[in-house]
Amino acid sequence: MPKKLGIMIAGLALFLLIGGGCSRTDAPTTNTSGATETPAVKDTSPIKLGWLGPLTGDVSSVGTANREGTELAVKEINDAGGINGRKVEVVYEDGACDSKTASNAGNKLINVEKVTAIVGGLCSGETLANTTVAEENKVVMVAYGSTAPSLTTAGDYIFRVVPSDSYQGKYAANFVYSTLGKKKVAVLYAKTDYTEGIAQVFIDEYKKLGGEVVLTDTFLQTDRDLKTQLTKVKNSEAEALYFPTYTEAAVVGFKQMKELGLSISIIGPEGYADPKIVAAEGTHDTMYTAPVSPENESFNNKFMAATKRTDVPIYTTHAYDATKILLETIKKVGTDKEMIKNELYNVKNYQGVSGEITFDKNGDLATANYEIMVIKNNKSEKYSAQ
Amino acid sequence: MFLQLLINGLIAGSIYALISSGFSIIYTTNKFVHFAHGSTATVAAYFLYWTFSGLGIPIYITFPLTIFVAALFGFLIHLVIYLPLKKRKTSSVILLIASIGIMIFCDNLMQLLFGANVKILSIFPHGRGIEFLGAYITPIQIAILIIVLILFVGLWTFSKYSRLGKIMRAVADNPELAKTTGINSVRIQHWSFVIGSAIAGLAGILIALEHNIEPSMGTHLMIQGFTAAVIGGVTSLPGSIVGAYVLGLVENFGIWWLPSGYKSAIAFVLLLAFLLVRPQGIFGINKGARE
Amino acid sequence: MPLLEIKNLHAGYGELKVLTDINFELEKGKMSVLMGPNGAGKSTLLKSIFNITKITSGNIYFEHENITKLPAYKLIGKGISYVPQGKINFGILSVRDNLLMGIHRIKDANTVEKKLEEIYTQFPILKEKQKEYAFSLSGGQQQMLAIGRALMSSPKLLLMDEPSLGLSPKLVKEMFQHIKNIRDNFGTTILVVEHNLKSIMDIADEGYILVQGGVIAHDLCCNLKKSDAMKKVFVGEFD
Repeated sequence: MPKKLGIMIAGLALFLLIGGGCSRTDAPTTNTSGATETPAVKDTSPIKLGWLGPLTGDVSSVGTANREGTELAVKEINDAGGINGRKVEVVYEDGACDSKTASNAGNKLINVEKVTAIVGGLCSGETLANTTVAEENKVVMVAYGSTAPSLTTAGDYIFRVVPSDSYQGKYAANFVYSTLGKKKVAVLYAKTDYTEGIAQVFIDEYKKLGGEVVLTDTFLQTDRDLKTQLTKVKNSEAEALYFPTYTEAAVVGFKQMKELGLSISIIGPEGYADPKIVAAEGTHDTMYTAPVSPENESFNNKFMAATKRTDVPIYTTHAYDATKILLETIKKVGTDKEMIKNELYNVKNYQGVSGEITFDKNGDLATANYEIMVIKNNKSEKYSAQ
Repeated sequence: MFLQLLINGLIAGSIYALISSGFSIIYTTNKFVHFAHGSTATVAAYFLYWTFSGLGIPIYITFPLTIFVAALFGFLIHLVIYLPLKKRKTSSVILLIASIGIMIFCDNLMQLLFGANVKILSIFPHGRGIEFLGAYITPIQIAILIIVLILFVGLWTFSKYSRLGKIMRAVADNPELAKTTGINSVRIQHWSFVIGSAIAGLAGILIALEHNIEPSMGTHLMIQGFTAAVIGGVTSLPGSIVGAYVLGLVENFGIWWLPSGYKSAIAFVLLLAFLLVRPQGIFGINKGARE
Repeated sequence: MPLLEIKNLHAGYGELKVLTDINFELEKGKMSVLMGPNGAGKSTLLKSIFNITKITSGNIYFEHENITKLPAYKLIGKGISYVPQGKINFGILSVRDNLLMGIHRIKDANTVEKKLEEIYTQFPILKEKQKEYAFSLSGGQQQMLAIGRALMSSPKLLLMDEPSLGLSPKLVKEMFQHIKNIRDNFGTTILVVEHNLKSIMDIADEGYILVQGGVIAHDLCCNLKKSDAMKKVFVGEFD
């Protein structure tokens, strides 16, 4: 009996260890911040921020550039003397655009590194995986690419400088139905927070407009063979295909569409701006919605000069803005986490390099503007109806 | 649509067959599940990527070299890990656990060396498939079908008619008796790993060309490869290939009515069904109580 | 010249000691029977010659060559064939392929065919069923197949472990006739472990009685038949 008990205890311990990917809460405390921030005592210890995004895996070609956007913002602040004499330090963690990896990363930032706030994540799945632990620990998250509608109600401490897809999905549906004039559409989407969210918004709006969704089908983010689904699309009466997906599956999908001779219009969400998709085979004439970003030549130039890149991948400006907003808020109110959160709700008409930023009562962007881009010969350009 | 689904099913089946046949050879001769077999294909694919894309070695050298490296890889695993364990008379469960360990190690090593990003091998251009009665098939896919067909015929003849094939079946059936008829069982087991892993090497090449390269590619296919071997009959080499086609076709036609997310579920249901109703598979011989 | 010599053999399975200080000699061309109660170590003795048991000490010589440590698969090459008990054939191979396994080292097709014909002549039923799976054969036919396979390599020494096991009396008679023919026609030295003593004692030349891992009697069969030890074995007093 004792031996069996020992095994059960060992098994339970193992189970808890593995299940430790779920969040742990620390005793609510503001040891490293808060009370010590009285102006009378000059604190020169560095301010610690966390950063979360895909440095490997899907969309990493975007994530690595976004990280550099944050690095640029931090460098500018530090070169100007830091915040009230304190340098800013950032701990960068890889979310891999995957919930499990991001959850571990977020846990590490919050419970081990004890960061004051987090810039991140990029993928909606990365952010959603950490909303609970962030809320419980009062750690503000400013996401710079997470567009899933469900983030709107994720918590008081969750903000984003990108619009919710509840806008983008509707915009896409209107474009396909009214501008392109396609009355029958197929929707094929990956089973992730981001893609499922926007697909659902699209479907609801499209039907409301009077269009017919002749086929909906799904695949996993990790699937690398979409021939079956694409065969069904080809066999349906769809005049266009709405195809929300992350990068790796997108590349496979476009290649196989070409092989199968699927020639209807393909429309996707802003994730298509990933350079890897733009450069992929079979993407000619593919259209996608993108948040309108003002052309900010001075930012682009200084970014490219600092990183030796030849372009500014999507969401880099947003990562830069998210970082700047956070740091300016900390400059104003200090490192008390609750005060940071409260002050963020006051951000109005902030002129960022990604556009004007106003947070609504949910921490979402109050307005959203989109445009249509089209990929021609592996280059993105603005769409113009001809 | 029927024809396209048929073609899709045959292509999927061909890829499963590449994995299941090599696995079957190793399983029947050694009587334990060599889960790391999928990793052999993965290692082969990355080797091809490294030599072709990285070093620029032409394909008429790298293709056979990759197959050789895969065979060597499998042979070394047997020599260095399984054989010492077998000498200590460990059970097949322990060997299975060891194989899982090897699989995890290899997949992670590939990720460490090459990164987790999907790699694309652009040896042959991908383009619109050739149209055939309303369905499309690409040259690479045709090549895969033909190669697997040749493999099937080759394995059938080898297993049934060649001396080594018969000896391998003898060792698979009764290793103790084989010893007394002068068969060096250990050497035959080496051969099974060499041949089986070489086929996995071929699998790695073809899968890399048709799909792309990822650290987990081989292991993902092991599930279907294993299922295919069970369906076709683990004691039958050509059976494992037939089982692969059955699986590929059932998966693709099953998705006609069901949402595509059920594809993996179909594989598992089929596996379960066979294990319950006909565990010896389609071609497996039910020896009954006679022996 | 003794074909096989066993000197001071101690052997067993793992911790279990089965054979204690066995001394043994087989004359060429003779058939010897190994008898004794269950668990005496008869099968173990045969397996020791074939090196598939753990030999703790002692030596085995075949044609004056020390074969104690030789791995099992090399013994066919020396001229020793073995018909074991239990799973005696390759079930999923055809009858013909089973026979071919007995001679798989020989690559010359003519030699192989000739040998095959020889065996078919001795066991016509095997020719009749040559394309069928071995597992589908009856008990007696399987036994014949196993013997046939052992003979394919033209062995100098044939070891047999309870060939009559599970056979009907008629088949047993047939079986022993075959065994007698093998010794008479081919001059093969035979060592057979048997329980069915009545029949075998008539055709064998010598006998050994093995009890609890030791040889307690050895003589020509005609003498052994009338001995006391024999009566005890017959009655099962040692069991």
